[in-house]
Amino acid sequence: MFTDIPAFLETVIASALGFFIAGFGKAWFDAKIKQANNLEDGRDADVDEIIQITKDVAALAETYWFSVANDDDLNLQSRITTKINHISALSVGIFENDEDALSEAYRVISALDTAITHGDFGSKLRQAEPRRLTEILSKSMVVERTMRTQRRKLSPRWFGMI
Amino acid sequence: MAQTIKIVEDFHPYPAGRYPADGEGNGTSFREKFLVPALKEKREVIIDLDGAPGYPVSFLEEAFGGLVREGFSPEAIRQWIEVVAKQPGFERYLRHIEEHITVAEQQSSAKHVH
Repeated sequence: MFTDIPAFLETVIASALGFFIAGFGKAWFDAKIKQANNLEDGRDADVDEIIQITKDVAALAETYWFSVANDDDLNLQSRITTKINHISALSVGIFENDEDALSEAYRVISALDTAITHGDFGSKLRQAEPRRLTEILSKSMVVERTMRTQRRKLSPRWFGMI
Repeated sequence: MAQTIKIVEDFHPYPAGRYPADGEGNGTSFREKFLVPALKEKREVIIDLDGAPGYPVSFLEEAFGGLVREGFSPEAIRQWIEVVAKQPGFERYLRHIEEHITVAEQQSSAKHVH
């Protein structure tokens, strides 16, 4: 019994080492998968936030352009401008590694921005422009659709890479 | 050395509106106070957009498109005025400004043709 103790120990150590490496490898891989899943969840949450803010902006713009200049203008202008910029900043976070997607996001955000803030936006003498609403709603839907589409096209980010 | 103008610090924390009647942060006042003097003196200026909550199209169009309507050529504007923005999402304002200059030039050319 135990006539070849060094060989036996060698087997035990090799088994332990193999077990340790396999366990470590699995833990490392699981952590990376979890990290990647968290990133994907974060991207989805950002897209959902963009869509919600876009709806908010369209509603604020409706309030703004349905009436003539009034005391609430400054409040609405600030909220509209800040929210549009927030949409833009969130897009950078989602599409920072995909130049084409970011460019497309910028294009549709700028179109919405232009629809809302061109012309007499910010003027104390402005008139109501309810006719703008169709364009604003149309552009806001394009933003929502584009964000969802570009998000679907985005490759998962594994191990810190695209 | 080029002078750097940070809009939120040197002009107004909330740039908005076209005309002086629209409030202190309007595009016309910004253009007349900072951009026109630089162009007339052929002095290089750097316009830093960072720090603002955002820029309405009406402000940017009046400030930069208005330069073309005042008679400055797009080439001179691009030569003496550099606009910078590093804040996330602000890069698109650089494209807006370029578009406003180009569109104002096209509208100006169309007027001269007619």
